[in-house]
Amino acid sequence: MAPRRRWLLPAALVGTLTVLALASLALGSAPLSPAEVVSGLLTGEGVPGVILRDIRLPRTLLALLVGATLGLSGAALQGLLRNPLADPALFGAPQAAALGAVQVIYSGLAGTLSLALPAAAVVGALASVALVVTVAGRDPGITVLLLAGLAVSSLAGAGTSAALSLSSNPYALTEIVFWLLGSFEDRSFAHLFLAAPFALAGSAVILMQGEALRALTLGEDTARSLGVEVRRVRLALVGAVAVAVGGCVAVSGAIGFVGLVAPHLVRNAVGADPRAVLVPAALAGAALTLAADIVARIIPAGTELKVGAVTAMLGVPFFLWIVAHRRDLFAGTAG
Amino acid sequence: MTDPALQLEQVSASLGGRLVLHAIDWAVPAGCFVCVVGPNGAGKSTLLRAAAGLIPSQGSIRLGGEPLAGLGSSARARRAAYLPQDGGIGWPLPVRDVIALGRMPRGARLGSLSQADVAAVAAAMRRMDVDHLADRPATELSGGERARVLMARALAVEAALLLADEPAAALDPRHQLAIMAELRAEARAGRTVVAVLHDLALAARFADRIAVVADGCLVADGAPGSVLEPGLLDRVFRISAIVETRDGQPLIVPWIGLVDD
Repeated sequence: MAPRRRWLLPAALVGTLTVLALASLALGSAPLSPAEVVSGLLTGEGVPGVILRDIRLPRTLLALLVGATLGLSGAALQGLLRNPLADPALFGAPQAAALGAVQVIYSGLAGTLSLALPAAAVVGALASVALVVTVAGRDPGITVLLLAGLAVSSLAGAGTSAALSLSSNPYALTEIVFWLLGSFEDRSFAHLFLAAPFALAGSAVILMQGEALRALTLGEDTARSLGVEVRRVRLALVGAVAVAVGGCVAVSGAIGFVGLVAPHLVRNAVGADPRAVLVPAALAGAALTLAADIVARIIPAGTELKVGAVTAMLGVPFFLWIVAHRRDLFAGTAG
Repeated sequence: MTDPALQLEQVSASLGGRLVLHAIDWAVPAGCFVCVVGPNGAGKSTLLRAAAGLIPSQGSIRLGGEPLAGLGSSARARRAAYLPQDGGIGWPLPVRDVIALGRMPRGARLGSLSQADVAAVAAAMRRMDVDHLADRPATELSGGERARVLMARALAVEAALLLADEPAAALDPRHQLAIMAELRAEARAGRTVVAVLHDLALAARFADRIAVVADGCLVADGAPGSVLEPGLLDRVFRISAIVETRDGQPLIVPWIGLVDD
């Protein structure tokens, strides 16, 4: 990779993010002009100020945080497993996190703004990722990995369905179903502050494993012979992804496929090096999620589309396209 | 008297609950090129992985006199380079970046390689004849090209001890001869090389010593001419071979596979 081009993609992504963030602040059921956005942000006064402060700014920041976390988590898991189809969702992590959160809400332990919610989501995500990695073994082929992930996420989904069907309160039922779909609608700074510690701590741990991820390109034996403590790295990454994704799911619901798609969007520009992919994948994930949230807002409909539905509708075709066309990425992977 | 580069005392190791190495005592003198030979499933790869500290083992392993168990992971990585058998490459990294991973134990980070790192990578590429592949994605190489790239990665570590598992298996005859000559040159330069090999002719032609492993035991260890004699070839490999001397070196050609009684 030519060193000159290294900064180009991050710069382009930051530019895109800025434009998207401004669009996200301006667009919605009450459109604001750029001038209103600027003055509303600066002064916080008037109707635009209230809209921005209470609705659009937290929503935008949360979409950026969740998107970046998902993009980074996807890149980390793909690097760890040397597998271009790895994604937190393929491990059932978001589904299991949702199950954990739903259990807390239904058992009446906590409201949706208590720390118990992300804690339960993190526990659910940890359990699912640990289960998949344990079942799939050290050097899993794609088939084993996908089947194990599918099984675990089906189990988590079944658990959530069971909780929903046993619910006696139809009002709470609707609320939870919408929450499960994944959305940034009506999220406040309180939600942002609830998710941020988990997302940021997990992301920091992931970013520290960059060199180890690069060494793992040559397999676990070679990485170990290069001084990488593979077992510790695997534990740190899996745990960090679960914590980060769990924290995000607790406030935004399950938003799929961002972690799968974001790393692929940047590989053409930064190369396949699993370390070089990390930060650009986070930026791409943030851009993707924010764009999906804007789309969800501006598509005319009786009620707002859920962002999780948008990312899934974009992500699933992309996933299938990767499977069909990027055979080169599977070169080092046992089928 | 210098310490052996590698010394094993009563080393045993198990894989999946099965005892694969049985109380091996073995010393590899510093600056020596040793080839480890033996039938399939004899425990050669396990021996190498145990010596590299990649799998748990009982007994004592010393690198240059120091207990392996007492070395931290990066100190161990600087002392012993390891080349796995059939090493895969998970991502289409450029060949040069793959080889530069060999500098990781020396604190090198891609994008900020020191002059010594760059020189070591360039030397390793030249010695394995992969200069012309430097910018190619490593996943798009032929089997033999990939094997040479991975060997170059191991050479780039510049460790005192190089443990290579079947470095010549995928290569064409010219590159087989070249890699063996390079490994011997590595030993002449003062490093110690232990290579698992199946080709007895190559082993006899280039190695300073040959260690024979059978059923998890070290059954012979010495100069090629004295180790690879008809009795041992019969007992361990179940072959009859043509053994001659050419230019003062043993020439061995496996000729007839013996039928088990």
